[in-house]
Amino acid sequence: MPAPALPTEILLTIAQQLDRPSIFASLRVCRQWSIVLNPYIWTSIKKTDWHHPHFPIRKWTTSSDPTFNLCLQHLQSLEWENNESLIRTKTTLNPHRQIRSSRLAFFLSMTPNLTYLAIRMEFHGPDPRLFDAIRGLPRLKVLDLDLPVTWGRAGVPIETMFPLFAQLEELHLGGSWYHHNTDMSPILEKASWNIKKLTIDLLDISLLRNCPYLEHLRMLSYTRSTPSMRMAVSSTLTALLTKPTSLKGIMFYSSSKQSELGFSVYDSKMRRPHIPHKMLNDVASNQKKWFTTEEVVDVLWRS
Amino acid sequence: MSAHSQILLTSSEGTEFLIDRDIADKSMLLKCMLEDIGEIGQAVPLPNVSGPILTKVIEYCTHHRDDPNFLSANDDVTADIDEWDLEYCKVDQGTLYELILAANYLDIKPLMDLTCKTVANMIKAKSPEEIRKTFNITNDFTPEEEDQVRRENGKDWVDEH
Repeated sequence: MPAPALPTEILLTIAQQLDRPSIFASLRVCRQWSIVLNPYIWTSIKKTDWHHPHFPIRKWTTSSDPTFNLCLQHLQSLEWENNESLIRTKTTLNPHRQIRSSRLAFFLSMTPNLTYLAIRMEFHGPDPRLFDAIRGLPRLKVLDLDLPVTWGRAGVPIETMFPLFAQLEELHLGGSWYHHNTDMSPILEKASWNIKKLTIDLLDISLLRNCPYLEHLRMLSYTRSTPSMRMAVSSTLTALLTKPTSLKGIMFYSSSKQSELGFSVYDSKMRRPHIPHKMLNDVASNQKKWFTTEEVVDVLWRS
Repeated sequence: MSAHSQILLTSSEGTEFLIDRDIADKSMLLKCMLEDIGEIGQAVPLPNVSGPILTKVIEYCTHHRDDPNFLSANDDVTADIDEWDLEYCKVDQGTLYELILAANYLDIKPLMDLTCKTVANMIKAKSPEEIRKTFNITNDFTPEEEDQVRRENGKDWVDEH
């Protein structure tokens, strides 16, 4: 008995679950599948996609390709890499010229279903419009921002992002943001976020207090740590780790020593976490071991 | 409300099904309805679901009765399907489609995810011709159109991944 026709509503439902090769094969099946599945070609844009000769964003303008604009409605995951050798705009002659952050902001205004957003930008100055656009993403769950360190110093109003942080499950901030603003503590004290995975610069360690449900913490350090900084890290971590916590793992990256330290921490009853963090190396002894709170702080002090 | 209360459902043909309340609660449609109007002591008509499909749906909900992660277990679409679920989905395609439509209507997300994933797996890693065979689809492209679709969607994309 031949199989009955697959109802279109089911095809639409499963479209989200198909990887790109399957989508491309499916587009060639018949006219109906081609029409139904076409908007689902770009549900996920990975950084490797940027190197493809036909990658649509490289020459994207709002009016250039209505089909692609329809695709953007279904975009769920976007890794935005500003690689200037790949990007050509009309005026591109300057090698440092990239897709402007204002253009990215406009792009994001067309992607209401985005849940994962990673942005790497190296040269541009801060642009409030970009932050407005990110804040306007109603379904965003994971935000990974690697912006120039100078953005923080230039006074990007990070506190305006707090309403967004409240809806996130993961937040990764490359570069320091917060510590340059000294008058934010009243705003911060009230904030409580559901973030489970957090990456922050050591300088921003006080943001930890706003993440009571944290499970994985990565700390970055691009600058030489000062005694006062180490003190702040030590007291914040001790406060965090000595009371009941959902924390399963801590990692510490330091660019100055090219080292990575990883820790898993005991829970409040001194039991091992169910899902310990992958990295469990003590760099000094090159041995895998479990760390106590005191040892975590101690290793951070030594680095 | 007793923990062991039972609910009467009627399939599209009028067949009656008596099920435990906690089984019915796996369906968000029934759960919300029962919470809103209470148990009225009358059969709940399900005109969109046939008897054989309803039997199959009840089988699924009964197996996953005490599953504490019932609503969150299938969030990861790339996760493997467990053995019982895999066996459960070994039905003809018509039944599978009807199960999807029933899971959608009754709002049973884990069953919806499972059945959709099963269909998606029937498409994955196949050529267009193999997909046509699987779903009994006639290729209605003209050779020119087919050529164009292939060109537009770059064969090199497919090879890359």
